[in-house]
Amino acid sequence: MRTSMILVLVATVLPACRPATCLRDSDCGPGYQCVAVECAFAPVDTDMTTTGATDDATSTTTDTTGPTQTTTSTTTSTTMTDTSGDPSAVRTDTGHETSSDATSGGTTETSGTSGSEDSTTEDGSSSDGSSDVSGSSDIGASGSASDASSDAGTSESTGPATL
Amino acid sequence: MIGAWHGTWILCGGLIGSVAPAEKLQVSASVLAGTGMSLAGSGGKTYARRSPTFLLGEVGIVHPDLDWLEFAPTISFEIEGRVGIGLMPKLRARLPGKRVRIWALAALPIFFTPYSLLGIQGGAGISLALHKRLAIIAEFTGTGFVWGSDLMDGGSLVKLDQQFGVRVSF
Repeated sequence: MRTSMILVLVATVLPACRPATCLRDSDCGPGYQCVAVECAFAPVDTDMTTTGATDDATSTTTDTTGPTQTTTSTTTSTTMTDTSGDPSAVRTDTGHETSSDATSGGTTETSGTSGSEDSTTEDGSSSDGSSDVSGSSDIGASGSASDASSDAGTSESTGPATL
Repeated sequence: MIGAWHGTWILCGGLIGSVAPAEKLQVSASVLAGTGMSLAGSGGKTYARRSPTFLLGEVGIVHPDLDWLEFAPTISFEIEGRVGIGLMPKLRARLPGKRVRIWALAALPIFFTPYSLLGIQGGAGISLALHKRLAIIAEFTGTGFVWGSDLMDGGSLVKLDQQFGVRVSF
C-alpha cells in the first residue's frame, strides 16, 4: 500500500500527469460513462429511428423562417440537455411523447415531455416569425430542472422548474 | 489463451523434446491482493488515478524437469467500487533458489464481466519461503489494456500495480 501511494504521488506530481475523476467506465456509477476523464450520463438510444442528437444548451433553438403549420405527435426518443449543470452531462430518455405544434403566423413551438417525473409545457404564440422552444430537463436525482426557451434567435434559461 | 496453450504445451513436454511428460507436476496455490496506479491519456495529457483494489487467485504448475518455468492460470477480481471478473494465463520464468526465488512474468489479462478488458502484462516477483509448503510472494506488474468496453472511447489504459500474497505448495 505504501508503494502504491508513492507511485500515485510520483505520478500526480509529474507535470505530465494529472489526477483524474475516472479513467474507465467502471470508475463511474451505473448509467454513467467516462468521457474525457469525467463521468457523464451515458447516452442510451434504443430506437434507431430517432435523430440521436445530443444537443448542447445553445443548440435547442428551432428556427423557422416562414409560415408553417404542422401538427406532429410521435412516440420517440427525447434528448434532454442539462443547462445548469455539467455541460457534458447528457441523458437520453426513450418512450415518451414528443409533440410539435405549430400555429399560424410563422410560429413554431415545440414542447417536449420528458419522463414521468417532470412535465413542462409552454404554449405560446407569436406572429412575428419567431420561434419558441420549450423543453424540460432534469438532472439525475437532484430533482432540479431547467426550462430553456429561445425567442427570435436568442436563447435564455428561465430558471429551474419543479419536478 | 495463447499463453495457456503455450504453457500447457510446454508442461506436456511438447516444446522441448528432451523433457519427458511429467509423472507428477509441482502444484501450488496462491492468493494475492494488490492495487497501484492507473494511467490514461486524454486530450494530449496523461491522467493518473489509483487502481481499484483487486484479488488474484492462481494455481501454479511446474514441470519437475523445467523448474525455471511456471504456468499459472489466474482468476482476477476487481473489488473496489465495482466487481469485475477476469482470467489471466500467466507464465513465470524463475531464477534458481531455495528460500528466495525471483522471477519475471508475462500474462494476458482478460476481463469478461461485467465489462471487458484485454491487455498484456509483464513484471517481476519475489517469494520468500516461510515453510516447506508456505511462502509469501510479491509481484510488481505493468499492464497495458488496449481493448475493452471499459476503456474510454479510442483510449487505452496502463496500470502499474503491486500485489502481495501467500503461496501454498502441495
